[in-house]
Order: sequence, then structure tokens, then C-alpha cells
Amino acid sequence: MSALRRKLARDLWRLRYQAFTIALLVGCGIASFVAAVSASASVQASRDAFYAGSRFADVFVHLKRAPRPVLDRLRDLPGVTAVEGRTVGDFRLLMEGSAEPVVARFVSVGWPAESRLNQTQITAGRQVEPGSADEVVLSQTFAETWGLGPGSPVTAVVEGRLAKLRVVGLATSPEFVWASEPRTGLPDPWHFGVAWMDGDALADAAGLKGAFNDVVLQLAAGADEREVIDEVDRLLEPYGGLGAVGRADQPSHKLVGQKIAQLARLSRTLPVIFLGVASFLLHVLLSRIVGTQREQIATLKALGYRTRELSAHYLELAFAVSALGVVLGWGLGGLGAKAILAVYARYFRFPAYLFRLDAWAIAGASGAAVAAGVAGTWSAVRRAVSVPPADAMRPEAPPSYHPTRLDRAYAFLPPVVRMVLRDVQRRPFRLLLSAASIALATAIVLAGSVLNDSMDEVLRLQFEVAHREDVTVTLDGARDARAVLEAAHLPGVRRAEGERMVPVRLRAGHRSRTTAILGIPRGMDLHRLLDARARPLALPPSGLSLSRPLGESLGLREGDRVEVEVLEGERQKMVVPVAALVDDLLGLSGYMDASDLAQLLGEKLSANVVLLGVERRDLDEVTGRLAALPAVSSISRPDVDRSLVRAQVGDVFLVLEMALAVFAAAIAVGVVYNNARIALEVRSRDLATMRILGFTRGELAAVLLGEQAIQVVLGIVPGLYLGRFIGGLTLSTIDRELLRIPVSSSPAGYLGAACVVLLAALACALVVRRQSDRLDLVAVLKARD
Amino acid sequence: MNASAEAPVIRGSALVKTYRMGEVEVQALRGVDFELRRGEMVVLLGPSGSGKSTLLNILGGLDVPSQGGLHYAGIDFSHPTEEALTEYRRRHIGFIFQFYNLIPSLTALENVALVADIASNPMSPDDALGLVGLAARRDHFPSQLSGGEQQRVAIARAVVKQPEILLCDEPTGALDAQTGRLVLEVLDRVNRELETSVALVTHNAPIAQMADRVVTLADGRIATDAPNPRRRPPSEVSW
Repeated sequence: MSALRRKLARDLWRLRYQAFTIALLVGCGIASFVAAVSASASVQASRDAFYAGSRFADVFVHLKRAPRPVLDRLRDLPGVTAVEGRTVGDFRLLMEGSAEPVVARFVSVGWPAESRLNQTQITAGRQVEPGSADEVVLSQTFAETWGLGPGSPVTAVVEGRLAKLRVVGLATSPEFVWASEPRTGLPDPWHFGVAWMDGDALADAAGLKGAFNDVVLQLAAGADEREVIDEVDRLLEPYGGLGAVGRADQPSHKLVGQKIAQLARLSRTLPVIFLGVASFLLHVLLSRIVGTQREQIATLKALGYRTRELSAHYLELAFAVSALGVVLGWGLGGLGAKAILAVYARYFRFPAYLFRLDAWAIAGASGAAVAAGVAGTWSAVRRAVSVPPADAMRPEAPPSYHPTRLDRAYAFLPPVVRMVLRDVQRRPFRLLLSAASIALATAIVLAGSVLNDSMDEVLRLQFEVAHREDVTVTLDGARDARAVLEAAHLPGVRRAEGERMVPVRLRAGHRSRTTAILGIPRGMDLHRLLDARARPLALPPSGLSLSRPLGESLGLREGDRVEVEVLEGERQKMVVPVAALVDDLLGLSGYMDASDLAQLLGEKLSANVVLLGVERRDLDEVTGRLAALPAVSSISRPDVDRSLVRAQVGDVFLVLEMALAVFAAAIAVGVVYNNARIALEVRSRDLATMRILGFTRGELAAVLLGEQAIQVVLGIVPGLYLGRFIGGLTLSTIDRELLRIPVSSSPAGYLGAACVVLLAALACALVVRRQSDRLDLVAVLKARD
Repeated sequence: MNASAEAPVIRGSALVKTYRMGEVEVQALRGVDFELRRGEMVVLLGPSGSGKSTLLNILGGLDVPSQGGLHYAGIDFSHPTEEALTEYRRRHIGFIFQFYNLIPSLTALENVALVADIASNPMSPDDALGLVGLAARRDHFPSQLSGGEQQRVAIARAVVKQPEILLCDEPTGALDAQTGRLVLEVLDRVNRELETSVALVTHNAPIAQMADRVVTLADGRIATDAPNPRRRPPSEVSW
């Protein structure tokens, strides 16, 4: 190894703490990228592998009832390669210990097994036998939640009759990777599961002998999905078809896709910010480190080293630090990806999670990080190696200070304070750069708490301001408002209000979306629509109001007309004016005044959703009584929904918030420790002189750390503003169709962000102060400069 | 040695140097003619600020003159490029600094190897350390060496490339007399055994006794330039 390389190795070792703090910054940037990209790639690979091995269908449609020969007509459609008619129905399971109804989606298993679409993967026990009337396979998550396994008995209420069944196996299915409860769209294994039964047995039990009420189709490669869907809808319309959807709109597939996309968006935003900060700091810090070697550089030049050899030498230092950071980032990123996947594994059920590192993306980001580090250092190195070699032969001129007008203002201050202020005044740019780094650290911590505060705020708005009911009851069909009043007479019910929810397909030109219209009676108290500023929003007396993203995706504006196709009952089609686009918070819906909707549907004022205000102490009794009513198909409690949403949408945020706090602390430590350490190196002679002149260690610490304190204080306030902005930017990675979160931050969040940075800075300052206390005065003064 | 008959290795004519130090403009050289001959030992004497270090820096290619000419082995170096100066230092010049300027993170041997690595015809770093009597201290870091030892490592580092010219800026300036004498003996030996031309700057007049020729500078000009009647070995020099 050449002597210069040895110098590099020893310099790195001597600067190991400083180098490590910088490497940690690069590492955090790479880690966040690797984690997001790998988690995204892993979910995608796990999904694709599952789909490929299970003949996952391309088109899905539910209908009222059609005779089996209709399947042949579907099979004959151009572009269709496989068709499976199924019996699918939501039936209650009688589970001991649950006050609320537990619903299972029963799905028929057809034969022969190999021609089946959406094949389940058995994870325990076995598949049901052909012709068996009492065997059932349950979805794995549901069975595990309830402690059920092969051999367990379960009782279902199918079409009003009790069916005693026996669990023979557990399974996962590509159709239910995200097994969401149909009303909330969230996986809730305490109240919703999937059950597979022999096709004939289930059809018999559900009164669909010789018929089917659900079809899945597989398309040939290159087939026009839109065309097939139109044909299927046309064919099934007489049989109560509810409108076919492609894979993109299949609920489970859609959710998995949204998570993959969210991770992909995340990998494009945060790491870019992280790496930008890291290379900026690398520049600031390395330029100061290289600056302290001015004399060595001059000596090496005097000895005949070429400028480019010295440039390469110092760039190698930057390279080594960045490369160490990249390696750290791979390790941390791998752990981060596994942490994200562990959270996802709770909701997304694949038979196997494949861990995938996107090698090209990671190599690219790593190369970019190293290049950014080296490029960030380039100008500093250029400046350092341009020192004329003669400078090695003479002492550095004293830094130039000029009298300024501010001097008079300083006059009454003690000399130590004046020293700090003059230094700051002399190098305002350096101070600004350091303050900017501290601002970024503060911003990044705050961004993490903005994510959580905003999440809490949207939940508060949704579940305390917009939805104020204690129990939501879904009826098995639209009923007279009197049913609502009956509900009100249950003991403990303070108030009961009904809403009408109608499944519809909206069409505007060539665009269409399947959603629901909610009919809200005027003066409703338990459910209020909110605008963007969380104020109650009055519905226009007539016309249809749409969630803004829904309206936008259909290209609709206020005053436009939209075609509404009702997907139940008589399946009316009509054209309705768009009264407003509303800024609601969750999901995509249409809203109408209840009377207006009833008139449009040609029915009396009726309701299929009942909202109840219930005294807390009576909640269990009320839900118990409701569960026994035959007309009730599901009961939910918004407080439970709230914790479900919090857990499932907040999952990535939690991992993120921790990563952000670590990263911010790394920045604060990197900036303060390095600045203070370099200040100690540069000023050790001044400090030793002052000690000999009789200054105390405390006064010395004030000189050494005063500038650091000023930059921390200067950085924190703009950092808080910036944090709110970065928080908002991160929130924008959430699919707007799922959730629209107003950016908000709490006083505790601001205080916490400031505290994290202050504490990290204080810890570093204390470490450097200890080092300065241990200065060997004689040795320092003996050494030249 | 009779160096006066030898051709000059390096020659500076009418050298002027003005530079800024902090906010002060310094006229360091005001028209200096100087030449160094092959195998010659020249001592440059003068008080602080007389311009002797500046002259040495210009001769060594660390600095360029503001005006005047410089020739090395007949080649004009009056307006050199940065690269040419680097090549010049790399191939022909050995430097010894008042404050040794060793790289603190390298051992004695590695400091010497630092130059051997880039020289075209170096001696072995171990031999160079042997020449200055420090073979036993080869693996010590500068902080573990005394001032005299550090300066001898610096000399080994300067001679390892077997340069034609050795330029020494106050090589004993930071040392006590006894240690200083030890360092001068090494320089004397290098000059005699390797026939390296040596220019040695000092403000310490008695050191001039070991030179072939003594040049005195005052206020940026050459005041006297005369051969020594008798060149004494450093062991006979005292201050």
C-alpha cells in the first residue's frame, strides 16, 4: 500500500466518529430508499407469484341469479378463455362470545379442481371433498383470529336455516389477499371471514340449485377487457347483474396495488430529500475537515505531489465515507423492508412472502449517493488543494477581522461573547449553512409527527364530527322509516336516524365508476358532511353531490349531468345533475338529499342503514339485541372502525416516523458534533492560550460551543415551518381516493421536534466539551498551529 | 570541494517578489541575483524579513517570482506552469522545513516512503533512515519522536529521492544547539557523500562556518556573497 493510502486509512480512523456520523446520514437516505423499494418489490413479487399459481381471474361480476346454461354464452364471448359460475353469499356465523354479528362470505368450490379460477392455497388441513355438505374451509386469518382449525365445528345461518359445518382446512386466496369487510373496506377478522364449500352443497343451501349468482372470467392475452365487460353486463343484465369489474377494481387487488404504489411513491420522495440533505452535509463537513489539513496539503505539494493526486486522495476520503454510508444503508434498508413487510403480513395474506431486493434500483441509488457525496466534496477539495505550496513554509496569516458598526453594540458584552459574535459575523455563510442543516433535522422530525397528527385529525373529524353515531346498523334491504323508529325504542338508544345507501354505476362519456349514493335526510344529526375546513356542509336540495376525487376522475364539474345506473332492484337508469363536488375525507361517494333520492328511485322514503346514538353503558346490550333481529345484516361500532383505520393506514407511518426520528437525530448529531469537533481542532491553540491566561473551562466551552448554540437556535424555527411542508408532501403519497388528510400538527409535535434536535445537539456539545476539557495545554502550544 | 568552477545548477536573476500577507503587502525580494553550483553548500544568512525564505521558496519552485528570471539546468523557469513546477519539485528538489512538516498520521518510514513512492530513482526508505541514524525508530509516529529526530526524518524524506538540490529553511530553528548540531552533521554528510547541492537558510550566523559560500540578505537584497576561507565540520560549530 502506498504511503498516501496509509495516510488515508489513518485519517479515516482518526476521523472515525465524524466519518461515521456522516456515513449514517448517507445510510439513512439509502436505507429509506432500499426499504421502500424492496418492500414494494417484495409485495409485488409475492402477489404475482400467488396470482400466477392460482389462475386469478381477470373479470368479476355478481348477479341475482342466472341459470347455468348462461355460462356457455359467456364462454363464447370473444377474448374469454375460462368462465366459472359460482355461488357467493354473505351469511352469518354464530360465534360464541361475539355480541355483534360475524359474517362469512361463502364461496362455492367447483370441480374439477384444476379448471377452477381463483384457486385457494390450503395452508392447513385439506380442501373440501366433492359432494360433502358439511365441510368448510376457512380463510386463514379469520380462523386464526377465532382459534379455529381443522376439526372445529361452526354454525352458519344460511337463508334462515341453521347449517352445522365442520372446518376441514384453512386457506388463502388471491381474491381475498386483503379480506375486507364489505361495508368499511377494511380487513376485520373479528367480524368478517371467507368460507369455501362444495359448489352443489352451497348452491342447494342458498337456493341456487342449477343456477349461479357470481361469475369470474379469465381473458386471453391481449383481449379488450372493456369490451368483454360490456358484453358480460349486456348478457347478465336480465339476471340482475351488478356490473362486471376488471381486476383493477377487484377490492383486494386494488388495495394491494394501492399499497405497492404508495411504497413506490414513498421511495421517490423521502429518499430524495434524505440524500439531498446527506450530500449537502457531506459537502459542508468534509470541506471543513479538508480545510484543517491545509498545511499537510501544502507540504505534500512542496514534496512534489501533483494537484490531481491530492484531489484524488481527498475525494477517496469522501468516497470511503459515502461508500460506508451506502453499505450501512443496505443493512438498515433490508431491516426496514422486513419491518414494513411484517406490518403488511398482518393484513395482506399471501401463502408466502417473497423477499425481493430490486438490485438495479439499489445499485443506481447507491451509485447516485456516492456520486453526490463525491460531487458535494469536489469544490471543497478543489479549494483545499489550490493552496500554494509556499504556505507550508510560513504560518497562516491571522484571520482578518474588521471593525463593524455592531462593535459598539457588543462593547458592554464580556470578551468571550464578543469572540463568538465576531466569529459568527465573519463567516455568516457558514453559520447559515449549519443553521439550514439544523432546520432540515427539525423539519424531518416534525414531518413524522405531522403524519401522525394529521392521521389523528382526520380520524377525529370522521368519527367525532362527521359520524357521531355509536352503532351503525346495516339492514338486509331498504325498509320503511318506521323500522328506524322501532330501533329507536330499544332501551338505551338516545337517537336513531336512517340513511339510504344505493349501489350505482356513474357514467360520464366513456368514463365510469362503481360507487354508492348515500341519501341523507335533511336535519340529520348523527352524520354530517364536512367541507375542507371541517365545517358542516349543507347538501343542495336537489341534484347529486360527489366526493371531489370521484367527480374529477369522471371529468365532472358542478352543473354537469351524469348518468346513474342503479345496481339493485329495478336497475333504473337516469341522468342527474351534479350539484356540487364536496371535500369529504374518506373514500368515494355520491350524496343526495334523502327525499330527492327516494323520488328519483320512485320509492317511499326508506333506509337501509340506521345510525344509533346509544348510552355507553348500554352498548353491548343494544348490539346484542340488534344482532338477534333477522332484518339486520351487519352491525358495526365506529370506535372499532376508527382503531382499524388507525392501525391499517397508519402502519407505514409508524415505521416512517421512527425512521424519520433516527434520521433527524443523525443529522443533528452529524452537524453539531462535526462543527464543534472541527472548531476544537482549529481553535485548540487559542483555547489553550486562553486557559493559560486564566479563563475557566466554562468560558472556553462558551467560545467553542457558542456558535453551535446560535446555529441550533436559528435553525429550529424555520425547520418547524419546513417540517409542516415535508409532512404535507409525504401525506400526498397516500391515494387521494382512499383518504384525504388535511395537514395538521399539534403543539406537542412542534415541541417534540425542537426537543429531539436540541437534545441531540446538547449531547454532542457535552461530548466535545469533555474533549476540550482534556486539552493537553503544553502539547497544543508546542505544536505549530 | 571546489564548487566555484562548477556550472550553476540553478540561477536566479533580478528576482523580485511582492506578496500579501493578511492585509499587509510585503516586498520580500527587491532584485536578487543568485546561483547555486553543483555539490555546493551555501548558507543564506539574514535577519527575519530579509527575504531569505522567499528566495528559497522561489528556488524550490514553491513560489514564483513577481519579476526576474529563473533557470534550472539551463531551462527557463521564469514563467512556469503549475504542472511544470510540480514536476520540478518532484524530480529535482528536496525540502526541509523549520517545523519538519511530517504527516502526523504516518510513521517515520512511511513519511519517507511518501516521497519514495513518487520519485523516479529513489533509494530505499530504510537506507535513507539509516543515513540519518534513525533505522531503529522507523515505526514511530512523529508524535513519538523528539524534535531532532523529527527533523532527521524530514531530511531522510528529502534525500530519499536523491535530489540534485536540497533546500533547508531554518532546519535547526526549532531545536536546541546539541540536537541542531546533529541535524547539521546529517546535512553535511548528505552534501559530501551524495554530492547534493545544499542551500540552507538560517538567521544563526555561526552555522555559516560549515558552508562553502555564505550569502547575506538584508531588506530583500543581497548584502554580501563570499566563499568561506575554510569550511568547518558541524562538530566544530557552536552557538
